[in-house]
Amino acid sequence: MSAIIASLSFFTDIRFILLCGLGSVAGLFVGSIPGLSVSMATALLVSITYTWSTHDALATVMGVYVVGVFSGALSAILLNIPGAPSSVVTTLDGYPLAKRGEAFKALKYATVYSFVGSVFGLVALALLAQPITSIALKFQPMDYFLLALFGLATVGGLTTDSFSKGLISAVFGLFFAMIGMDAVLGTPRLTFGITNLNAGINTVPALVGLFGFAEVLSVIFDGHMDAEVNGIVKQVVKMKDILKHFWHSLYYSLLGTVVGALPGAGGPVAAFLAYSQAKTIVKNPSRPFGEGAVEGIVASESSNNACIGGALIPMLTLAVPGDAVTAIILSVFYVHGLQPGPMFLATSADSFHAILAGGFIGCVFLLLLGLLVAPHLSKIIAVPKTILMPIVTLLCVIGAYACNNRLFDVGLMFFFGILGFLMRSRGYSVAPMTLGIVLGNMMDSNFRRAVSLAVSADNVVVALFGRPITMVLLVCTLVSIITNIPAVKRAWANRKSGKAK
Amino acid sequence: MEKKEKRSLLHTASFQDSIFVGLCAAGLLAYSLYHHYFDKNTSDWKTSPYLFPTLISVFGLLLTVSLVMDALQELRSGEAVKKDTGSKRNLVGVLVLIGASLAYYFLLPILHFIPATIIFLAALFLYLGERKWWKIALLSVIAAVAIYLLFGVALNVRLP
Repeated sequence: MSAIIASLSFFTDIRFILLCGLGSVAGLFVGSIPGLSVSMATALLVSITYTWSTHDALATVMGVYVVGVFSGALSAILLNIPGAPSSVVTTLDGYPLAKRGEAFKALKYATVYSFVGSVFGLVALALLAQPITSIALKFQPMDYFLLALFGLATVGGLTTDSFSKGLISAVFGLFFAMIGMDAVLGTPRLTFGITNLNAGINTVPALVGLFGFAEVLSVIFDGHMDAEVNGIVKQVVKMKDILKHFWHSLYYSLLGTVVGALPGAGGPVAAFLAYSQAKTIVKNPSRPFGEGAVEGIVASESSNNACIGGALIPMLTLAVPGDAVTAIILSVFYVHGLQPGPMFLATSADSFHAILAGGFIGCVFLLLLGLLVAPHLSKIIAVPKTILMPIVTLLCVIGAYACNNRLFDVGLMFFFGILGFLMRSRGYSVAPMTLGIVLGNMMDSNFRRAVSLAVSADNVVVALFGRPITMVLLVCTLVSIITNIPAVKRAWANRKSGKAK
Repeated sequence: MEKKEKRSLLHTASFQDSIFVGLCAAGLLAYSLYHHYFDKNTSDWKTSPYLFPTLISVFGLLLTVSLVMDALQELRSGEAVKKDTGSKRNLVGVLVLIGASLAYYFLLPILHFIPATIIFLAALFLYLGERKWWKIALLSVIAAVAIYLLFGVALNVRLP
């Protein structure tokens, strides 16, 4: 609770509020226009905010993050195209409502419950960060390695249909992280004589390429350059009616926070889970689910926004990001010389408070923009992609160049963009690769440290895995890997269907 | 437009991917072992910079086996080969964008930001279907100048 009180001091900082507002407006546009994503915007922001102060950068990034996740609902409701993957479930009831001429009502529900979910997640972050940090302080190098491995295995299992493909994406991410000067001995590794690679693959151009340029290539490949948009007719929607679902929304928010804290699960999983729960617990929905039930929008929006706070918990306390956006936010931290992890709350408490304040101010902007501006955005979100895509490509070039002022990074961005496009077209998710790139060096140094410490002990295996925390993490990692192996999955499914018969 | 056809293991996407992943993993393993044993700076495995790359390559080889098993499963289940008739035209669009981006990359140091950007944007607007020349000219000039003013001047971001 003291963290929330400390974060209130930022509410009087006009510059902080204005930058958060700027980020929120950017998040509103980026999240609502299909083809632009919060991940892409955050990756671009890393390079733009490179020269800014840490608090300015965090204010802007949090504004983009909080409002960007919500605004995916706008295009989900008005176009039947989710602006963000976490808004997929909102299309199920939001679009049918819009088709009935009730888009305004759908937007109002989405705004209010996105606000509730976001605030819930951030409060959970404020309350849980300290206890989790206390546990994390007991971590040793092998624990960090296993935690990162657990994250990669979970992301690999959840982001694509095939577990092998998810892990391959992660392995390639780890490979790219290995390129450059080795942190322990200072030996150039996997650089193949290219001097520009001695400093390693900069995460910013890699992420801008994987999320920005790859998205542009995918949009052009899919060929859907225009979209039909539903109009909005203003109608009276009483706040009393909207707030009827408040208690249910707290339950969906709790689900969202827990799912968000699991590495890799993120908004889409939370929204689907909450939606299926809503179908069970809501006995008399306003309309049947899938035909315009506001209860479906409540479940989807409160849970996917609650993921924001949830995903930040492991990122800040353990330096293990919960999703692609937090992986990118982690690189914002590194760019500004901050070191998330168990010592983060002790050494950078002001940055933690800035994140909380940025999140809460972002929530206020979410409410204001969602209720006042979003209903007027219907024409803007239908901007032809023939105009949008070349400009996004240009922004990717600027974003890749700005962090180091090297044209080589622009080339890297194009390389990762093409790679990301090829991966997507063959069914590989780029999220595990992102995590691999961000976590690779941490895994490498901790693994070698753990091995170095263990070989001098009497029993190497006990020294590596003998501690309770290590054993728990090892079991979690093994369970995550084994239960995702296709043969095990098939055997489990066969057993289940056999029992059902 | 989906069409079912008989195919061999080589035609499954997973098997094709497994060849690529297997080659990459084997290459990384060979590279790591060679450098570990022949580089002057490395002595034992516990501190070797090639320990983790070796581990990654072994993991990559295991995943190659997993992909082959996926491919066999695909064959057994007789999953349809997806043939998208529209993708050929779109692939040309992708190649044009990559080509234009590379041309822009090489033009930037020669022409500098604003002229190179105007040419790049105009070419893409034209290719993506905009036919009114005045609209193309206006959009490319406004976008290039606006981005220069916003990023280069207002936000103090270094532009290429």
